[in-house]
Amino acid sequence: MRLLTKIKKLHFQLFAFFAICVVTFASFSSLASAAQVTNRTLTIGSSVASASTSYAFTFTAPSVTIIKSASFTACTTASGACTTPSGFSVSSATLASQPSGFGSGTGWTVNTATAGSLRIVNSSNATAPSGSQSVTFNSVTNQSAANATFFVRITTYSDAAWTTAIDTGTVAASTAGQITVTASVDETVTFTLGGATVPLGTLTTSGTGSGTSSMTASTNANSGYSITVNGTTLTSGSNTIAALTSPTASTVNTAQFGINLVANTAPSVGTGVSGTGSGTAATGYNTANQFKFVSGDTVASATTPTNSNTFTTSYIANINGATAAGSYATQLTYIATTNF
Amino acid sequence: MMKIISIKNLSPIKASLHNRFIIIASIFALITAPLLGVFTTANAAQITGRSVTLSSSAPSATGVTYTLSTAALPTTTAVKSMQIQFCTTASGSCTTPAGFSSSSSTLASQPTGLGATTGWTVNAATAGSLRIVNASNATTSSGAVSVSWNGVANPSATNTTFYGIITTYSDSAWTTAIDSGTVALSTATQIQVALTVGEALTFCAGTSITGQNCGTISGSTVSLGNASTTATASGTSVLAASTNASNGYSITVNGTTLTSGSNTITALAGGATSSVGTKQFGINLVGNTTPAVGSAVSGSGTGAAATNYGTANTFRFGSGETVATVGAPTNANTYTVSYIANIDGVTPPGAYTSNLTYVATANY
Repeated sequence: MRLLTKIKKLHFQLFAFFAICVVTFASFSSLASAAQVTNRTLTIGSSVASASTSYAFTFTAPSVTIIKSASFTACTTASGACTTPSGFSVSSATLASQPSGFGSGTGWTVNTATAGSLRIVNSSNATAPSGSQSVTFNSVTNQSAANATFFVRITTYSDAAWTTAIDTGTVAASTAGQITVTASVDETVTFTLGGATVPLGTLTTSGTGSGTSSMTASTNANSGYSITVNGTTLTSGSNTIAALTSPTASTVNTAQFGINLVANTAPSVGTGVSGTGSGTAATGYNTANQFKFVSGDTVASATTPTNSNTFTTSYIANINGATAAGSYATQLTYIATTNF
Repeated sequence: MMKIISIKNLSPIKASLHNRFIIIASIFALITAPLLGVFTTANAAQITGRSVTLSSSAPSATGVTYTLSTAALPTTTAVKSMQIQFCTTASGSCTTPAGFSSSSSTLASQPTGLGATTGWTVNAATAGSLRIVNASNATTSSGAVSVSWNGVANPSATNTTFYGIITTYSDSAWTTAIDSGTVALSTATQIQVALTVGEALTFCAGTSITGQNCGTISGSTVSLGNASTTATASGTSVLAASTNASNGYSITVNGTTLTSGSNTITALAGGATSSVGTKQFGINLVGNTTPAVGSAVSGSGTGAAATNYGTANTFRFGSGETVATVGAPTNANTYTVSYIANIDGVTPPGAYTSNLTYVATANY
C-alpha cells in the first residue's frame, strides 16, 4: 500500500514537472521564434511636437504565418521596459486605408484601447503575408518634446489578441523643431523722371516746337497709382501760350501748348509706353497727335500692382503771329500717387 | 678470549657486512651524488629579466601564444635545447597543470638571442613542456632572448597560478642544464562585456547648433528681412541627423511657400538661380555665392544634400521633396538650409511666412 502511494506521488511529480516544462517551452517558443522584420521604416507626416499627423509604416515580415493583429508601440527606448513618450497619443488614430501586404485586403480595423500603441486587428484574416507590409494611421498625436528621438516597436501576431508574436522590429523616429520663414514686403512705389529741361527750340508760326521727357513708375499698391501733371502753361513774364484744355491736334500758327504720352506723327514726337507693367496713359493724353494740358490732370495710371513702365511725355508748342516775343518756360511737376 | 664462530653463524656476519656495505654505499652515494649533481646543476645560473607572456589568459583557451623573453643568458655556453616546463608549483616535483597542453605547439618564428638564428624546431613530445632544439647550434647565446610558441592550450582552472621553469641545455636532449629560472603565470576569468545597441535616429531642426550636437539646437524663426525688387532676401536654418539604420535616412521638407493672406511668393518648383525683381522662394543645402548665403554640409557623417538641393546658387522648393539623404548608417551631419526670396514690383505688401517641417525617416 505504501509502495503504491509512493508510485502515485512520483507519477504526480513527474506529471507536474512535465507540465511546467511544456508551459515554459511554449512561453519561450512564442518569443524565440519572433524574427526581425526587415526594411522597416516609419514616415511621420509632420515632425512637429504635439502635432496630429500620420504615421506610415512599411516593413517586410520574414515569417509566412498568418497575421491576425499587429501593434506599433511608441516607447522612449528601443528595448527594455516601454515608457510611452510624453504627449504621444493614439486615442484619435484611424486607419488611412486598408493595410497592404498583411494578407487580407479588407477587414482590418484600428484598436486604440492601449495608450501608446497603434494596433490593427483582423480576426478573419486567413491569408499569409506577402511582399512588403504597409499601414498608415492618421490622427496620431506626436510626443510633446521637440527634437527628441522616440522608438516604435513593431510586432505581428498570429492571434487576434496581440498575444502570440510572430515577428518584431524597432524603428527610430524623431520630432523636430518647426522652422518659420518670414519675409516682409513693404509698400513700394518707384517713380523717376528722366532729364530736367525740355527745350522746345525757337518757335515760329510755321513750325511746331516739340520735345520729350520720360518718367518711370511701378508700385505694389493694391489699386496701383496715378500720375498727375501740375504747373502752368508756357509763360514769359505776363505773356502765355494758351494751353490746350481738351485734346487737340497740333496746329501751326495757333498759340498752343499741350502734351500727351503716346507716339505721334504730327509732329513726329514721342514713343509709346514701354515696360512690363500695366500702366497706361490717361484719357485725354493717350491719343496720338492729340495734345492737352490741364494742371492737375491725371496723365498716366495703373489700377493694380504693376511692374515698371516708362512713359514718354511729348510736349508741343505753337505760336501765332501775335505771340509776344520772349523766353517762355514752365515748371511742371509730376506726382505719382499710390492707392493701397 | 677468543670467540669461535661456527660456520653456522656466518649468516649473521654476512648480514652485517651486507648492511654495512649498504650503509657505506649510501653514505658514498649521498656524498657523491650532490657532487655529481654540482657538475650539472650547480653551474645553472639564474636567468634574469625573464617573463612569459600569454596572448590569452582564458582557462582552456587553445591556440594561445606563449612568448618567453629574458635578458641575455648569464652563461655563454652554446645552447642546443631549451624548455619551459609548466608545473602547479614553483619547486619540488612537477605536476603539469590540468588542461595545459603543448601537443599542438609550434614556433611562431625562429628564436633570437640563442646563437643560431635558424635551425630551431619545436619538440612537442612532452605534454607539459614547451621545447625547442637545435643540435647544430654552435654559437653562444648573446643578447636578449625571445622565443614564441603558438598553439598552446591553457590550464583549465580559472584564476589559477601556474609556473614555468625555464631551462637551457648544452645538449640537444634537454639533459645538461646551463641556466634556469622560474616564472609565475596565471589564468584569469574572461570578462564578457555585453552591450545592446538599439535602433537609433537623432534628428533636430532649428536656427542654431554647435557642431552636430542636437542638444544645443535652438531657434525656430528665419527672418529674411524686407524683400525688395533690387536685392535678394536670404537666411538660414540648420538640421542635424545621424542614424544606425542599415539604409540610412532621408529628410523631406514639408510646407508652403511664403504666404501672406491670399498672396504668395512663387516657389521655385523646378530649381533656378536667384533673380532679383522676380518673385521667387527657394532653398538649398549648400554654400552659395549668389547670394552669399549658406554653407556646406559639416560633420563626420556621410549624409549629403539631395540632388535637387545640392547645387550652389540653384534654389528650389517643393513640399514633400527629399532635401538630404544617406544610404548607410552614418554619424552626424549638420546641414545649413539657405532660404532666398525675391519679389517683383507687384508683389503685394505684407508679412509673408512659411512654416516648414523637416521630417527624417530612417530606413532599417
